[in-house]
Amino acid sequence: MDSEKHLIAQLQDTQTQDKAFRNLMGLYKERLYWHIRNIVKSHDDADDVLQNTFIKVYKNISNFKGDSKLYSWMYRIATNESITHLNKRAKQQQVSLEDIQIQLADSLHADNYFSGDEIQEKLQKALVLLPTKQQLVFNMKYFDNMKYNDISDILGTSVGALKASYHHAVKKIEHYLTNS
Amino acid sequence: MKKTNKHIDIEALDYKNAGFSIPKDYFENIEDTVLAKINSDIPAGYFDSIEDKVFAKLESREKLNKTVKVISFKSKVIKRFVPLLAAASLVLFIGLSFFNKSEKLTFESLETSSISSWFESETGVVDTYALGELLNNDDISSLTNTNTIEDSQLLDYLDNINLEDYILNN
Repeated sequence: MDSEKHLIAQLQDTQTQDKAFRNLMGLYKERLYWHIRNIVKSHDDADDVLQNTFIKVYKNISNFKGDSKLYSWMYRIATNESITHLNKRAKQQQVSLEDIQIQLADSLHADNYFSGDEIQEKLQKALVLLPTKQQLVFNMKYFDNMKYNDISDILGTSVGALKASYHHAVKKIEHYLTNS
Repeated sequence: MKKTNKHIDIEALDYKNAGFSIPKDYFENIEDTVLAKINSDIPAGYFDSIEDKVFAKLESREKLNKTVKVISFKSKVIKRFVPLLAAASLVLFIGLSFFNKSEKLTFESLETSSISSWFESETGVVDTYALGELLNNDDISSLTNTNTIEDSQLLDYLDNINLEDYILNN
């Protein structure tokens, strides 16, 4: 925790900001990328959203009060940026958020940067049919292997509700995979 | 014969990733790309002075147009006269519309309905962070919900939502 406070102090000091920010990106770039990628599906979109996330972190770090952990705050920004990105795509194509997600999952078989097997492809198609929050909980628990307490900090939902949400997501996905 | 599907247990499959891959060495230069973008970004305070800069530019163009003189009555000048007149009319029109107004064009002078329709058409584009940057603490504290909801409307709404999703997601 002390090292986090030290890093935050460096990030908020204009003299040390750039170096500290470079260290911060080094620490979190892979974890945030995979979190974003699981939401937006394509590599190019994930790359854009990751860069926007870091730019937003840089611009807002002076307002960070330390009420939550730094990584929870960055995950929240990454999550919001990812969903905002999908909403923009949906708005451009004049379709719903769910429809744009279905389109993205359906086009994975033609994506050069998707190398999953048949079940992984179906899993993505099943995932996008879930409510957004259930998708987030499933991705963070199943793929990112995060603890419920950490997911709770990021999504602002109680651990009990997260467990129920994950359980429902697993059942719905298994039902889809078994019957499709 | 009835077809029986074998149950798929995804937790037993324990996929370590979703099947996504990335270009070789993708993570190598993210830091440089982001810092380059930040450093080439719009300078601090740019938007605070943009209106003055635009009006100053418009005024200087107007002065420039006023100094144009007709030197002779040759056909070459006549050919230039028509487009010049059109340009001058446009400048005059802009001048009359903007500079002769006693009220200066400000954010406060925008119609509330125009701002509302912009927000409605831009849903999904404006996020909470952007709003947070625009509003100060006093603005946020003074925000109040002025909508009134009738009991019948509330019951209709509850009848038409998926309560299971609502309970799990809120």
